[in-house]
Amino acid sequence: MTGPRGQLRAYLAFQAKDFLLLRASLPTAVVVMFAWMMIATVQLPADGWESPQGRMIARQVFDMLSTMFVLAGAFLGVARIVSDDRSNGYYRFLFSKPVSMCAFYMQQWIVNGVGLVVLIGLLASLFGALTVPVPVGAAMQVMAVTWVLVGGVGFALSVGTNYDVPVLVVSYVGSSVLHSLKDSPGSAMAPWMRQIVRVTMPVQHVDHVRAALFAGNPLPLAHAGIAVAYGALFVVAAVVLMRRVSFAR
Amino acid sequence: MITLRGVSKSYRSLLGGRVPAVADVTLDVAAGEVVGIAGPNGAGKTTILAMLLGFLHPTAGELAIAGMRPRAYVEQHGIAFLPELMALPKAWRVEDALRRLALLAGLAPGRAREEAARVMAMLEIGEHARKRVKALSKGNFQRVGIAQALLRDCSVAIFDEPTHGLDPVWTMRFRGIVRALRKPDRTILVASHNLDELDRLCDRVVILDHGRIQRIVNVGGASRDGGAGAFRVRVAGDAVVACRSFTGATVLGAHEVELPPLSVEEFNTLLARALADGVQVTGVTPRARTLETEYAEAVGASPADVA
Repeated sequence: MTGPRGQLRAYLAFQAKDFLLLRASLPTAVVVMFAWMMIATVQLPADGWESPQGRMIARQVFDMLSTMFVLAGAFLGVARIVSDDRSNGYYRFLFSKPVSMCAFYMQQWIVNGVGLVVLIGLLASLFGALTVPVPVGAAMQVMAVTWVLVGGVGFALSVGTNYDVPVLVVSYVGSSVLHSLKDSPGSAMAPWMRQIVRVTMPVQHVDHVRAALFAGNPLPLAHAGIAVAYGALFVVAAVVLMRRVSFAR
Repeated sequence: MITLRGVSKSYRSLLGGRVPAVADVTLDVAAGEVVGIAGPNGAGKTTILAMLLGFLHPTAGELAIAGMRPRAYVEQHGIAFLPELMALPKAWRVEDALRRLALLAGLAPGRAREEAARVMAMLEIGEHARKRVKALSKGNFQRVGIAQALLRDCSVAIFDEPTHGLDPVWTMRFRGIVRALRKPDRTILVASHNLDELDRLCDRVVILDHGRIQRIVNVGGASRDGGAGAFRVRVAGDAVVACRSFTGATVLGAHEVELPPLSVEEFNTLLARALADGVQVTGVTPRARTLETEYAEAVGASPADVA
Protein backbone atom coordinates (compact mmCIF):
# COMPACT_ATOMS: atom_id res chain seq x y z
CA MET A 1 0.00 0.00 0.00
CA THR A 2 2.84 2.35 -0.66
CA GLY A 3 1.97 5.15 -3.00
CA PRO A 4 3.62 8.27 -4.26
CA ARG A 5 4.84 10.84 -1.78
CA GLY A 6 3.05 14.15 -1.26
CA GLN A 7 2.66 16.30 -4.35
CA LEU A 8 4.50 19.28 -2.91
CA ARG A 9 5.03 20.87 -6.29
CA ALA A 10 1.30 20.83 -6.96
CA TYR A 11 0.68 22.14 -3.45
CA LEU A 12 2.79 25.18 -4.32
CA ALA A 13 -0.26 26.87 -5.88
CA PHE A 14 -2.03 26.74 -2.50
CA GLN A 15 1.06 28.08 -0.73
CA ALA A 16 1.24 30.96 -3.20
CA LYS A 17 -2.44 31.69 -2.61
CA ASP A 18 -1.91 31.65 1.17
CA PHE A 19 1.05 34.00 0.77
CA LEU A 20 -0.93 36.49 -1.29
CA LEU A 21 -4.04 36.44 0.88
CA LEU A 22 -2.59 36.13 4.34
CA ARG A 23 0.84 37.71 4.16
CA ALA A 24 1.25 40.01 1.16
CA SER A 25 -2.15 41.67 1.10
CA LEU A 26 -1.61 43.91 4.12
CA PRO A 27 1.78 45.47 3.23
CA THR A 28 0.67 45.77 -0.39
CA ALA A 29 -2.56 47.53 0.56
CA VAL A 30 -0.77 49.90 2.95
CA VAL A 31 1.94 50.81 0.44
CA VAL A 32 -0.57 51.28 -2.41
CA MET A 33 -2.74 53.45 -0.18
CA PHE A 34 0.19 55.65 0.88
CA ALA A 35 1.45 55.91 -2.70
CA TRP A 36 -1.97 56.85 -3.98
CA MET A 37 -2.44 59.49 -1.24
CA MET A 38 0.93 61.04 -2.03
CA ILE A 39 0.51 60.96 -5.78
CA ALA A 40 -2.96 62.43 -5.51
CA THR A 41 -2.17 65.21 -3.07
CA VAL A 42 1.38 66.30 -3.94
CA GLN A 43 1.73 69.90 -5.28
CA LEU A 44 3.80 69.65 -8.46
CA PRO A 45 5.11 72.39 -10.80
CA ALA A 46 3.65 72.81 -14.28
CA ASP A 47 5.76 70.12 -15.96
CA GLY A 48 4.66 67.60 -13.31
CA TRP A 49 6.78 64.60 -12.29
CA GLU A 50 9.34 65.28 -15.03
CA SER A 51 10.43 68.50 -13.30
CA PRO A 52 13.50 68.31 -11.04
CA GLN A 53 11.25 68.88 -8.02
CA GLY A 54 8.82 66.22 -9.20
CA ARG A 55 11.64 63.72 -9.72
CA MET A 56 13.00 64.44 -6.25
CA ILE A 57 9.60 64.00 -4.62
CA ALA A 58 8.93 60.80 -6.54
CA ARG A 59 12.27 59.40 -5.52
CA GLN A 60 11.81 60.31 -1.85
CA VAL A 61 8.36 58.73 -1.81
CA PHE A 62 9.69 55.63 -3.56
CA ASP A 63 12.60 55.24 -1.13
CA MET A 64 10.30 55.60 1.85
CA LEU A 65 7.60 53.26 0.54
CA SER A 66 10.00 50.60 -0.69
CA THR A 67 11.81 50.60 2.67
CA MET A 68 8.45 50.28 4.39
CA PHE A 69 7.38 47.41 2.11
CA VAL A 70 10.69 45.59 2.44
CA LEU A 71 10.60 45.58 6.23
CA ALA A 72 6.88 44.94 6.64
CA GLY A 73 6.96 42.31 3.90
CA ALA A 74 9.91 40.45 5.42
CA PHE A 75 8.36 40.42 8.89
CA LEU A 76 4.85 39.49 7.76
CA GLY A 77 6.22 37.02 5.25
CA VAL A 78 7.93 34.93 7.89
CA ALA A 79 5.82 35.62 10.99
CA ARG A 80 4.58 32.32 12.51
CA ILE A 81 5.47 30.47 9.31
CA VAL A 82 5.89 27.23 11.31
CA SER A 83 4.60 28.08 14.77
CA ASP A 84 1.09 28.88 13.49
CA ASP A 85 0.59 25.31 12.28
CA ARG A 86 2.10 23.96 15.48
CA SER A 87 0.23 26.09 18.01
CA ASN A 88 -3.09 25.69 16.19
CA GLY A 89 -2.61 21.97 15.67
CA TYR A 90 -2.89 22.07 11.86
CA TYR A 91 0.25 19.95 11.61
CA ARG A 92 -1.65 16.84 12.70
CA PHE A 93 -3.50 16.73 9.39
CA LEU A 94 -0.72 18.11 7.21
CA PHE A 95 2.08 15.85 8.38
CA SER A 96 0.28 12.57 8.81
CA LYS A 97 0.52 12.61 5.01
CA PRO A 98 3.65 11.30 3.23
CA VAL A 99 5.34 14.65 3.13
CA SER A 100 8.55 15.99 4.64
CA MET A 101 8.02 18.82 7.11
CA CYS A 102 11.35 20.35 6.12
CA ALA A 103 10.52 20.28 2.42
CA PHE A 104 7.02 21.68 3.08
CA TYR A 105 8.27 24.66 5.09
CA MET A 106 11.32 25.29 2.93
CA GLN A 107 9.00 25.49 -0.06
CA GLN A 108 6.70 27.89 1.79
CA TRP A 109 9.70 30.00 2.79
CA ILE A 110 10.93 30.17 -0.81
CA VAL A 111 7.43 30.93 -2.14
CA ASN A 112 7.08 33.81 0.34
CA GLY A 113 10.53 35.20 -0.49
CA VAL A 114 10.10 34.96 -4.25
CA GLY A 115 6.58 36.36 -3.88
CA LEU A 116 7.86 39.41 -2.03
CA VAL A 117 10.61 40.05 -4.59
CA VAL A 118 8.15 39.76 -7.48
CA LEU A 119 5.58 41.93 -5.70
CA ILE A 120 8.01 44.75 -4.96
CA GLY A 121 9.11 44.57 -8.57
CA LEU A 122 5.52 44.95 -9.76
CA LEU A 123 4.72 47.73 -7.30
CA ALA A 124 7.91 49.63 -8.14
CA SER A 125 7.18 49.29 -11.87
CA LEU A 126 3.65 50.59 -11.32
CA PHE A 127 4.94 53.50 -9.26
CA GLY A 128 7.51 54.26 -11.93
CA ALA A 129 4.84 54.19 -14.63
CA LEU A 130 2.70 56.67 -12.71
CA THR A 131 5.56 59.01 -11.77
CA VAL A 132 9.13 58.78 -13.09
CA PRO A 133 11.33 55.70 -13.60
CA VAL A 134 12.60 54.30 -10.30
CA PRO A 135 15.27 51.65 -9.59
CA VAL A 136 13.05 48.58 -9.75
CA GLY A 137 15.96 46.12 -9.79
CA ALA A 138 17.54 47.78 -6.75
CA ALA A 139 14.31 47.44 -4.79
CA MET A 140 14.08 43.77 -5.73
CA GLN A 141 17.66 43.10 -4.66
CA VAL A 142 17.16 44.88 -1.33
CA MET A 143 14.02 42.80 -0.79
CA ALA A 144 15.89 39.58 -1.56
CA VAL A 145 18.79 40.33 0.80
CA THR A 146 16.46 41.49 3.58
CA TRP A 147 14.31 38.39 3.10
CA VAL A 148 17.20 36.00 3.46
CA LEU A 149 18.39 37.78 6.62
CA VAL A 150 15.10 38.54 8.39
CA GLY A 151 13.25 35.61 6.83
CA GLY A 152 16.06 33.21 7.69
CA VAL A 153 16.25 34.25 11.34
CA GLY A 154 12.45 34.32 11.57
CA PHE A 155 12.21 30.83 10.07
CA ALA A 156 14.55 29.36 12.69
CA LEU A 157 12.75 31.20 15.49
CA SER A 158 9.40 29.91 14.26
CA VAL A 159 10.70 26.35 14.34
CA GLY A 160 12.08 26.84 17.84
CA THR A 161 9.34 28.76 19.60
CA ASN A 162 5.70 29.74 19.37
CA TYR A 163 6.72 33.29 20.37
CA ASP A 164 8.76 33.86 17.23
CA VAL A 165 7.20 37.21 16.30
CA PRO A 166 8.10 39.16 19.45
CA VAL A 167 11.52 37.50 19.58
CA LEU A 168 12.18 38.44 15.94
CA VAL A 169 11.08 42.04 16.46
CA VAL A 170 13.21 42.39 19.59
CA SER A 171 16.17 40.78 17.80
CA TYR A 172 15.89 43.12 14.84
CA VAL A 173 15.32 46.31 16.81
CA GLY A 174 17.93 45.35 19.41
CA SER A 175 20.49 44.56 16.72
CA SER A 176 19.82 47.87 14.97
CA VAL A 177 20.24 49.83 18.20
CA LEU A 178 23.39 47.96 19.24
CA HIS A 179 25.02 48.34 15.83
CA SER A 180 24.21 52.07 15.77
CA LEU A 181 25.75 52.48 19.22
CA LYS A 182 28.83 50.50 18.23
CA ASP A 183 29.33 52.41 14.98
CA SER A 184 28.54 55.86 16.37
CA PRO A 185 31.50 58.25 16.45
CA GLY A 186 33.30 58.19 19.79
CA SER A 187 31.56 55.01 20.86
CA ALA A 188 32.88 53.78 24.22
CA MET A 189 31.39 50.31 23.98
CA ALA A 190 33.22 47.75 26.11
CA PRO A 191 35.16 45.09 24.16
CA TRP A 192 32.99 42.25 25.51
CA MET A 193 29.91 44.16 24.41
CA ARG A 194 31.39 44.58 20.96
CA GLN A 195 31.83 40.81 20.77
CA ILE A 196 28.15 40.33 21.58
CA VAL A 197 27.12 42.91 18.99
CA ARG A 198 29.18 41.06 16.40
CA VAL A 199 26.92 37.99 16.63
CA THR A 200 23.62 39.89 16.55
CA MET A 201 21.69 40.31 13.30
CA PRO A 202 23.90 42.22 10.84
CA VAL A 203 21.15 44.70 9.97
CA GLN A 204 23.68 47.44 9.23
CA HIS A 205 24.83 45.46 6.20
CA VAL A 206 21.31 45.57 4.75
CA ASP A 207 21.37 49.34 5.27
CA HIS A 208 24.65 49.50 3.32
CA VAL A 209 23.13 47.37 0.54
CA ARG A 210 20.06 49.61 0.34
CA ALA A 211 22.11 52.82 0.38
CA ALA A 212 24.47 51.59 -2.34
CA LEU A 213 21.79 50.24 -4.65
CA PHE A 214 19.48 53.23 -4.30
CA ALA A 215 22.46 55.52 -5.03
CA GLY A 216 22.82 53.72 -8.35
CA ASN A 217 25.93 51.74 -7.35
CA PRO A 218 26.33 48.00 -7.94
CA LEU A 219 25.39 45.49 -5.26
CA PRO A 220 28.04 45.67 -2.50
CA LEU A 221 28.90 41.99 -2.42
CA ALA A 222 30.71 42.02 0.92
CA HIS A 223 27.77 43.56 2.78
CA ALA A 224 25.19 41.49 0.91
CA GLY A 225 27.26 38.35 1.43
CA ILE A 226 27.43 38.80 5.21
CA ALA A 227 23.68 39.43 5.49
CA VAL A 228 22.83 36.48 3.22
CA ALA A 229 25.29 34.12 4.93
CA TYR A 230 23.91 35.03 8.37
CA GLY A 231 20.33 34.40 7.22
CA ALA A 232 21.26 31.19 5.40
CA LEU A 233 22.93 29.88 8.55
CA PHE A 234 19.63 30.27 10.35
CA VAL A 235 17.77 28.50 7.55
CA VAL A 236 20.12 25.56 7.95
CA ALA A 237 19.62 25.72 11.73
CA ALA A 238 15.85 25.69 11.16
CA VAL A 239 16.08 22.52 9.07
CA VAL A 240 18.36 20.78 11.57
CA LEU A 241 16.10 21.79 14.45
CA MET A 242 13.03 20.52 12.62
CA ARG A 243 14.67 17.14 12.08
CA ARG A 244 16.05 16.75 15.60
CA VAL A 245 13.48 18.25 17.95
CA SER A 246 9.89 17.15 18.52
CA PHE A 247 7.58 19.20 16.33
CA ALA A 248 4.73 19.10 18.83
CA ARG A 249 5.18 20.90 22.13
CA MET B 1 4.03 -3.84 12.04
CA ILE B 2 4.17 -1.48 15.02
CA THR B 3 6.60 -2.04 17.86
CA LEU B 4 7.20 -0.07 21.02
CA ARG B 5 10.10 -1.11 23.23
CA GLY B 6 10.38 0.45 26.68
CA VAL B 7 8.98 3.73 25.40
CA SER B 8 8.84 6.60 27.86
CA LYS B 9 8.02 10.24 27.39
CA SER B 10 8.29 12.89 30.03
CA TYR B 11 7.88 16.63 29.91
CA ARG B 12 9.85 19.24 31.76
CA SER B 13 7.74 21.11 34.29
CA LEU B 14 8.01 24.85 34.91
CA LEU B 15 9.99 24.13 38.07
CA GLY B 16 12.49 22.01 36.16
CA GLY B 17 11.20 18.62 37.27
CA ARG B 18 10.12 15.91 34.88
CA VAL B 19 6.48 14.93 34.49
CA PRO B 20 6.07 11.43 33.03
CA ALA B 21 3.39 11.10 30.36
CA VAL B 22 4.26 7.59 29.16
CA ALA B 23 6.40 5.14 31.10
CA ASP B 24 8.11 2.00 29.82
CA VAL B 25 5.50 0.95 27.27
CA THR B 26 6.26 -2.20 25.31
CA LEU B 27 3.76 -3.35 22.72
CA ASP B 28 3.63 -5.19 19.41
CA VAL B 29 0.79 -4.73 16.98
CA ALA B 30 0.69 -7.05 13.99
CA ALA B 31 -0.52 -6.31 10.50
CA GLY B 32 -4.21 -7.13 10.19
CA GLU B 33 -4.95 -6.30 13.82
CA VAL B 34 -7.36 -3.70 15.12
CA VAL B 35 -6.11 -2.60 18.52
CA GLY B 36 -7.89 -0.27 20.87
CA ILE B 37 -6.26 2.06 23.37
CA ALA B 38 -8.31 3.00 26.40
CA GLY B 39 -7.53 4.87 29.56
CA PRO B 40 -8.60 7.79 31.69
CA ASN B 41 -7.82 11.38 30.70
CA GLY B 42 -4.08 11.97 30.83
CA ALA B 43 -3.29 8.25 30.70
CA GLY B 44 -0.90 8.76 27.78
CA LYS B 45 -3.04 7.62 24.82
CA THR B 46 -2.60 10.72 22.69
CA THR B 47 1.09 10.98 23.60
CA ILE B 48 1.70 7.46 22.30
CA LEU B 49 -0.14 8.26 19.07
CA ALA B 50 1.85 11.52 18.66
CA MET B 51 5.06 9.49 19.01
CA LEU B 52 3.82 6.99 16.42
CA LEU B 53 3.35 9.86 13.98
CA GLY B 54 6.79 11.24 14.80
CA PHE B 55 5.38 14.49 16.18
CA LEU B 56 6.99 13.74 19.53
CA HIS B 57 10.28 11.98 20.21
CA PRO B 58 10.38 9.51 23.09
CA THR B 59 12.52 10.35 26.10
CA ALA B 60 13.59 6.70 26.24
CA GLY B 61 12.91 3.50 24.31
CA GLU B 62 12.25 2.87 20.65
CA LEU B 63 9.26 2.94 18.35
CA ALA B 64 9.17 1.49 14.87
CA ILE B 65 6.62 1.08 12.13
CA ALA B 66 7.50 -1.62 9.61
CA GLY B 67 11.03 -1.44 10.99
CA MET B 68 11.36 2.29 10.30
CA ARG B 69 11.51 5.23 12.67
CA PRO B 70 8.00 6.71 12.87
CA ARG B 71 8.72 10.05 11.16
CA ALA B 72 10.64 8.33 8.36
CA TYR B 73 7.77 5.88 7.90
CA VAL B 74 5.14 8.65 7.81
CA GLU B 75 7.13 10.74 5.34
CA GLN B 76 7.53 7.70 3.11
CA HIS B 77 4.11 6.04 3.34
CA GLY B 78 1.70 8.28 5.25
CA ILE B 79 -0.71 7.24 7.98
CA ALA B 80 -4.50 7.54 7.85
CA PHE B 81 -4.81 9.68 10.96
CA LEU B 82 -7.80 11.22 12.66
CA PRO B 83 -6.55 13.30 15.60
CA GLU B 84 -8.55 13.91 18.73
CA LEU B 85 -7.78 17.62 18.58
CA MET B 86 -8.94 18.39 15.08
CA ALA B 87 -7.93 21.72 13.62
CA LEU B 88 -7.80 23.18 10.15
CA PRO B 89 -7.43 26.85 9.20
CA LYS B 90 -10.90 28.28 9.73
CA ALA B 91 -10.99 30.10 6.40
CA TRP B 92 -10.41 26.94 4.35
CA ARG B 93 -13.41 25.61 2.50
CA VAL B 94 -14.18 21.93 3.00
CA GLU B 95 -13.56 20.97 -0.63
CA ASP B 96 -10.30 22.93 -0.81
CA ALA B 97 -9.12 21.48 2.49
CA LEU B 98 -9.66 17.96 1.20
CA ARG B 99 -7.98 18.78 -2.12
CA ARG B 100 -4.97 20.22 -0.32
CA LEU B 101 -4.72 17.19 1.94
CA ALA B 102 -5.20 14.86 -1.03
CA LEU B 103 -2.22 16.48 -2.76
CA LEU B 104 -0.15 16.05 0.37
CA ALA B 105 -1.37 12.46 0.50
CA GLY B 106 0.38 11.93 -2.81
CA LEU B 107 -2.52 12.11 -5.26
CA ALA B 108 -1.98 13.85 -8.57
CA PRO B 109 -4.00 17.10 -8.93
CA GLY B 110 -6.73 15.54 -11.07
CA ARG B 111 -7.13 12.54 -8.79
CA ALA B 112 -7.00 14.76 -5.72
CA ARG B 113 -10.16 16.48 -6.89
CA GLU B 114 -11.84 13.12 -7.62
CA GLU B 115 -10.83 11.60 -4.31
CA ALA B 116 -11.98 14.69 -2.41
CA ALA B 117 -15.38 14.32 -4.11
CA ARG B 118 -15.45 10.58 -3.37
CA VAL B 119 -14.78 10.91 0.35
CA MET B 120 -17.21 13.82 0.63
CA ALA B 121 -19.89 11.65 -0.93
CA MET B 122 -18.93 8.72 1.30
CA LEU B 123 -19.18 10.84 4.45
CA GLU B 124 -22.23 12.73 3.09
CA ILE B 125 -20.66 16.15 3.45
CA GLY B 126 -21.01 17.13 -0.21
CA GLU B 127 -23.60 19.77 0.68
CA HIS B 128 -20.98 21.48 2.86
CA ALA B 129 -18.26 21.43 0.18
CA ARG B 130 -18.18 25.20 -0.28
CA LYS B 131 -18.61 26.02 3.40
CA ARG B 132 -15.71 27.30 5.39
CA VAL B 133 -14.41 24.98 8.06
CA LYS B 134 -15.41 27.46 10.79
CA ALA B 135 -19.06 27.18 9.70
CA LEU B 136 -19.26 23.43 10.28
CA SER B 137 -20.90 21.78 13.26
CA LYS B 138 -18.76 19.56 15.46
CA GLY B 139 -20.24 16.41 13.93
CA ASN B 140 -19.74 17.57 10.34
CA PHE B 141 -16.18 18.66 11.12
CA GLN B 142 -15.53 15.23 12.58
CA ARG B 143 -16.78 13.72 9.32
CA VAL B 144 -14.36 15.96 7.41
CA GLY B 145 -11.65 14.57 9.66
CA ILE B 146 -12.66 11.00 8.87
CA ALA B 147 -12.90 11.86 5.17
CA GLN B 148 -9.34 13.19 5.01
CA ALA B 149 -8.07 10.03 6.70
CA LEU B 150 -9.62 7.98 3.89
CA LEU B 151 -8.04 9.92 1.02
CA ARG B 152 -5.21 7.46 0.62
CA ASP B 153 -4.92 3.71 1.03
CA CYS B 154 -2.53 3.46 4.00
CA SER B 155 -1.10 0.40 5.74
CA VAL B 156 -1.54 2.06 9.12
CA ALA B 157 -4.67 3.86 10.31
CA ILE B 158 -4.89 5.67 13.64
CA PHE B 159 -8.13 7.07 14.97
CA ASP B 160 -8.07 9.13 18.16
CA GLU B 161 -11.55 9.53 19.68
CA PRO B 162 -13.10 8.95 16.26
CA THR B 163 -16.76 9.16 17.21
CA HIS B 164 -16.45 12.26 19.35
CA GLY B 165 -19.23 14.58 18.23
CA LEU B 166 -20.83 12.07 15.86
CA ASP B 167 -24.52 11.30 16.17
CA PRO B 168 -25.58 7.67 16.81
CA VAL B 169 -26.17 6.94 13.14
CA TRP B 170 -22.71 8.15 12.14
CA THR B 171 -21.20 6.38 15.11
CA MET B 172 -22.61 3.14 13.69
CA ARG B 173 -21.47 4.08 10.18
CA PHE B 174 -17.99 4.75 11.49
CA ARG B 175 -17.86 1.21 12.81
CA GLY B 176 -18.76 0.05 9.31
CA ILE B 177 -15.94 2.15 7.87
CA VAL B 178 -13.42 0.57 10.23
CA ARG B 179 -14.67 -2.91 9.42
CA ALA B 180 -14.29 -2.11 5.72
CA LEU B 181 -10.76 -0.89 6.36
CA ARG B 182 -9.78 -4.13 8.08
CA LYS B 183 -7.30 -5.95 5.84
CA PRO B 184 -4.62 -8.56 6.47
CA ASP B 185 -1.89 -6.05 5.62
CA ARG B 186 -3.34 -3.07 7.49
CA THR B 187 -2.92 -2.16 11.14
CA ILE B 188 -5.58 -0.06 12.81
CA LEU B 189 -5.30 1.68 16.18
CA VAL B 190 -8.36 3.23 17.80
CA ALA B 191 -7.99 5.33 20.95
CA SER B 192 -11.28 5.98 22.65
CA HIS B 193 -13.02 6.51 25.95
CA ASN B 194 -15.96 4.61 24.51
CA LEU B 195 -15.39 1.04 25.70
CA ASP B 196 -18.42 -0.29 23.88
CA GLU B 197 -16.98 1.04 20.63
CA LEU B 198 -13.60 -0.58 21.30
CA ASP B 199 -15.31 -3.78 22.33
CA ARG B 200 -17.14 -3.93 19.03
CA LEU B 201 -14.25 -2.91 16.77
CA CYS B 202 -11.05 -4.29 18.19
CA ASP B 203 -9.22 -7.56 18.55
CA ARG B 204 -7.33 -6.34 21.59
CA VAL B 205 -7.64 -3.34 23.85
CA VAL B 206 -4.65 -1.86 25.62
CA ILE B 207 -5.66 -0.22 28.89
CA LEU B 208 -3.35 2.58 29.96
CA ASP B 209 -3.24 4.47 33.22
CA HIS B 210 -0.60 6.86 34.51
CA GLY B 211 1.34 6.36 31.28
CA ARG B 212 1.75 2.61 31.76
CA ILE B 213 0.06 -0.38 30.18
CA GLN B 214 -2.09 -1.80 32.94
CA ARG B 215 -3.68 -4.58 30.97
CA ILE B 216 -4.18 -5.90 27.44
CA VAL B 217 -7.60 -7.41 26.92
CA ASN B 218 -8.44 -9.76 24.08
CA VAL B 219 -11.93 -8.78 23.08
CA GLY B 220 -12.24 -10.27 19.61
CA GLY B 221 -14.95 -7.78 18.75
CA ALA B 222 -14.94 -8.26 15.03
CA SER B 223 -15.36 -12.01 15.14
CA ARG B 224 -17.92 -11.84 17.93
CA ASP B 225 -20.18 -9.58 15.89
CA GLY B 226 -20.57 -12.40 13.46
CA GLY B 227 -20.01 -15.30 15.81
CA ALA B 228 -18.72 -16.42 19.17
CA GLY B 229 -19.13 -14.63 22.48
CA ALA B 230 -20.77 -14.68 25.84
CA PHE B 231 -24.45 -13.90 26.34
CA ARG B 232 -26.88 -12.91 29.04
CA VAL B 233 -30.27 -14.53 28.80
CA ARG B 234 -33.40 -13.17 30.44
CA VAL B 235 -36.12 -15.71 31.21
CA ALA B 236 -39.75 -15.44 32.21
CA GLY B 237 -39.50 -17.98 35.03
CA ASP B 238 -36.98 -18.74 37.73
CA ALA B 239 -33.37 -18.21 36.62
CA VAL B 240 -32.17 -21.06 38.87
CA VAL B 241 -34.48 -23.48 37.08
CA ALA B 242 -33.48 -22.14 33.66
CA CYS B 243 -29.83 -22.51 34.59
CA ARG B 244 -30.23 -26.31 34.56
CA SER B 245 -30.97 -26.17 30.83
CA PHE B 246 -28.07 -23.80 30.06
CA THR B 247 -24.96 -25.85 30.74
CA GLY B 248 -22.21 -23.78 32.35
CA ALA B 249 -24.45 -20.77 32.95
CA THR B 250 -24.34 -18.69 36.11
CA VAL B 251 -27.31 -17.03 37.73
CA LEU B 252 -27.12 -13.27 37.66
CA GLY B 253 -30.52 -12.40 39.09
CA ALA B 254 -34.06 -13.70 39.60
CA HIS B 255 -34.70 -13.83 35.84
CA GLU B 256 -31.24 -13.61 34.27
CA VAL B 257 -28.38 -16.02 33.60
CA GLU B 258 -25.00 -15.50 31.94
CA LEU B 259 -23.68 -18.08 29.51
CA PRO B 260 -19.96 -18.72 29.05
CA PRO B 261 -18.30 -17.79 25.73
CA LEU B 262 -19.83 -19.96 23.01
CA SER B 263 -19.73 -20.26 19.26
CA VAL B 264 -22.91 -19.40 17.40
CA GLU B 265 -23.67 -23.08 16.87
CA GLU B 266 -23.11 -23.93 20.54
CA PHE B 267 -25.25 -21.02 21.64
CA ASN B 268 -28.13 -21.99 19.35
CA THR B 269 -27.92 -25.62 20.36
CA LEU B 270 -28.07 -24.62 24.02
CA LEU B 271 -30.90 -22.20 23.37
CA ALA B 272 -32.90 -24.82 21.43
CA ARG B 273 -32.45 -27.30 24.27
CA ALA B 274 -33.58 -24.75 26.83
CA LEU B 275 -36.64 -23.88 24.74
CA ALA B 276 -37.40 -27.58 24.38
CA ASP B 277 -37.15 -27.87 28.16
CA GLY B 278 -39.87 -25.24 28.41
CA VAL B 279 -37.73 -22.26 29.35
CA GLN B 280 -39.43 -19.04 28.24
CA VAL B 281 -36.68 -16.73 26.93
CA THR B 282 -37.60 -13.02 27.00
CA GLY B 283 -34.30 -11.56 25.88
CA VAL B 284 -30.74 -12.30 24.82
CA THR B 285 -27.97 -9.75 25.24
CA PRO B 286 -24.40 -10.23 24.07
CA ARG B 287 -22.02 -9.85 26.98
CA ALA B 288 -20.84 -6.25 26.84
CA ARG B 289 -19.41 -5.61 30.20
CA THR B 290 -16.27 -7.68 30.18
CA LEU B 291 -14.10 -4.86 28.87
CA GLU B 292 -15.71 -2.45 31.30
CA THR B 293 -14.92 -4.78 34.15
CA GLU B 294 -11.35 -5.25 32.98
CA TYR B 295 -11.00 -1.51 32.55
CA ALA B 296 -12.40 -0.77 35.98
CA GLU B 297 -9.99 -3.21 37.56
CA ALA B 298 -7.07 -1.88 35.54
CA VAL B 299 -7.59 1.76 36.46
CA GLY B 300 -8.73 1.06 40.00
CA ALA B 301 -12.34 2.17 39.59
CA SER B 302 -15.45 0.30 40.54
CA PRO B 303 -17.38 -1.22 37.61
CA ALA B 304 -20.36 0.94 38.57
CA ASP B 305 -18.23 4.08 38.05
CA VAL B 306 -17.22 2.95 34.58
CA ALA B 307 -20.75 1.95 33.61
